[in-house]
Amino acid sequence: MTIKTHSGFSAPKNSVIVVRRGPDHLGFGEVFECIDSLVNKGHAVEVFLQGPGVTPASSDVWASRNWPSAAVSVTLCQSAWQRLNAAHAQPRYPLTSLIQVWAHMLEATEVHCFGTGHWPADWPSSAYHGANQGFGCLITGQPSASDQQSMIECVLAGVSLEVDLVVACPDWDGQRSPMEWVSGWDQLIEHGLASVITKHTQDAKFSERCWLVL
Amino acid sequence: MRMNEPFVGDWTLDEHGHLKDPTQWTRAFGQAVADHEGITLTDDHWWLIEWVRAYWLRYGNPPLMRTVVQAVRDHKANPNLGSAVLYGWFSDHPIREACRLGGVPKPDWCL
Repeated sequence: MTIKTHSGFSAPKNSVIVVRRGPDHLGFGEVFECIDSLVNKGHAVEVFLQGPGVTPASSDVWASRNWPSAAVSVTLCQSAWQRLNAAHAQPRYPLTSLIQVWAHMLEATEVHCFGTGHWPADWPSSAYHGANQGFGCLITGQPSASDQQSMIECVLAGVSLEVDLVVACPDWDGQRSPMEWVSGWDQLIEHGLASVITKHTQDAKFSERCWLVL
Repeated sequence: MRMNEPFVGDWTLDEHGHLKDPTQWTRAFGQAVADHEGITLTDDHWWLIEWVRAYWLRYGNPPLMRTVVQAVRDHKANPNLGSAVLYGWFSDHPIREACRLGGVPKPDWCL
């Protein structure tokens, strides 16, 4: 969709891409394909490396690309970098906070997230139809405790901005979790911070949300 | 080792001024820090310090401001209270201060 301003110029299209995959992930190539596609469409792309996306090898991989600097900016999650980098070395890319990235996502034309999970085959399509009703964060598989912590931080940063946000955990049957469920998730429910969708949730209105598959 | 590390009373602090070993926390630690810095702790301060610490022990991270505000409303039975009441207790970063006095490590993320 093209948005026209009063002056007749097209509004700039800004996209945010959250990358929670390291270069060794089998699907890492999808990230570059997505960025190339957005750049070719004229978008300014903000790439945010978070959680498992911040690895010692990440900087070299991202620096190897030759996108125009005005088209693609790369930033690192401040907390992930601090945890990774006990020696306090200078990062190659600017550090930023999850809250800042959420603020940018709220304004972005497109938002994409490349995590380690996959959209369940038996769930309704996640295709976003622009209804702009809010965001969703999807958790699948068996993320490690440290990965879950970075997911919780991502969710809480959105919640702190009062983003309309749900967390979907399709593998959870409401009783037993398929993963070693860290206690941090419980605060979402116990303090009413975000709704949690399971495979039993009726009428979850998936298509009205922009989903981040963490 | 102790000679090169900051401390208050018998407690060793980390480089951020938080209790180095959170398991060693008692109210005496919070009182010692407050005395050292000339802070007078009221029942409201202690309620906040202990609520934030209990939240961290339960969930592994400090609470969001909105969560604390809701807890204060419940605690005071006053639904009209906002974050201003917390800034009345600790004028600068009330949750962070409650973490520091409550023996909660400095959060390594941005909330």
